[in-house]
Amino acid sequence: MRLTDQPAYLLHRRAHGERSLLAELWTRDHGRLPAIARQARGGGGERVAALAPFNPLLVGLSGRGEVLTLSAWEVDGSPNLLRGATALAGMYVNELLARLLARGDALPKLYASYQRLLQRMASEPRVDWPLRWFEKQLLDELGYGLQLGLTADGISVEPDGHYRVDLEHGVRTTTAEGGFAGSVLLSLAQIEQEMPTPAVCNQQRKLMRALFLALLGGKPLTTWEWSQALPSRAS
Amino acid sequence: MAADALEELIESLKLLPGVGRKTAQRMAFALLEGERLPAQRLSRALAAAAERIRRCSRCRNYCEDQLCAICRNPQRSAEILCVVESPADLHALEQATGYGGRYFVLHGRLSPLDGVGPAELGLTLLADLLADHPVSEVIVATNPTVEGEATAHFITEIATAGGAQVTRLAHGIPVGGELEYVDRQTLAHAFGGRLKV
Repeated sequence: MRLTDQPAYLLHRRAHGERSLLAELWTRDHGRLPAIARQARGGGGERVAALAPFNPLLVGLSGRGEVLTLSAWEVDGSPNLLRGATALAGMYVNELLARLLARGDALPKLYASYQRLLQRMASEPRVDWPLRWFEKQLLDELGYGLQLGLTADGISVEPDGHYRVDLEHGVRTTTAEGGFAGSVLLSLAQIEQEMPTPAVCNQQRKLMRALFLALLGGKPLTTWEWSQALPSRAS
Repeated sequence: MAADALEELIESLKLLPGVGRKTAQRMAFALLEGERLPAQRLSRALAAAAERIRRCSRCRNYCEDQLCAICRNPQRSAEILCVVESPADLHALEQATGYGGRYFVLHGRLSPLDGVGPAELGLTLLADLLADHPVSEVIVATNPTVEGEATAHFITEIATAGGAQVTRLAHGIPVGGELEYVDRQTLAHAFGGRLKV
């Protein structure tokens, strides 16, 4: 495989020897690909600074085996500077993508959504709304799009009703306490257009977490556990 | 089994940063030359270090006792705490600055896919330390990377909850550098963080 000027983001990196990195890349046209980047660590400078999470990159890749060689990279446009709680939220999204995206499976529409997510996170005062919006895009693109306005029996979801949601059966009415309010589901269906209140967004976060946990085979994300350790919860 | 011992030595030397097979071989042969005094000295030093060096119970820096030399030193201010990613960073700051406060060493940075979280970085110990011994300032000296930034956010939250003022190291143009050669991100940070003169 030989790719040149391929748009990509770095999802994760770990040290590989003294000066090299093992980079987990998400390329626009070829999906997630691991690659070794030589001379990419330590000392700073344009080359080292460029290969960082959230930067829109143009990369050159070559090689045949499981792990490719990252032969060239540069920032394409302006770097996305995520700071503080937003950097933490960005790391959560990258962990989710690294765990859920299949190697070599291109999802160009989701890639465009990720670009928009990063721009929104860097510029909007509230980070929870763009996060919930992206999580919904991710479910849709992975083929688990939910019909949130209707139950599995074809009955309209009522704002005051209580519902259970799972990936297999969709939305079902429940009488038990602990289900999600219909208003939370209806707001999620409209998340592209309307900003939910922080309280509703928090309920949607719990719903999404339950759905993703099922997709992750019951093994939770590390970043979910981190947020418990924060004195004030971040996302 | 002389050949196995030699091979084991070469493989062990390869564990060191920046040492490949060829360098490891050269090192091994150099150690085994002549009277072997350097090899015996190195072997004693390694055994002593592996046995005696541990982490300071207060700041997690390497030391031989319960507390490290910096934490024990009454001349060092207990009012300021500088949080660094590694003992090497602590050493660099000690060499370059006249800092007179104490440190806290994380031994890493947040990295979700490597399973490094707040617990691995000793952040519970940091929170307890700040609760038991409140300080007026916490200097966050994590690296200017995304992971360092996220780690800094965690420390800021913990330090603020402990009532301390939080400061961060400035990002800027290297001394002796020229603007046109500085990378865009550093220049953007330096421009955004310009100082009043």
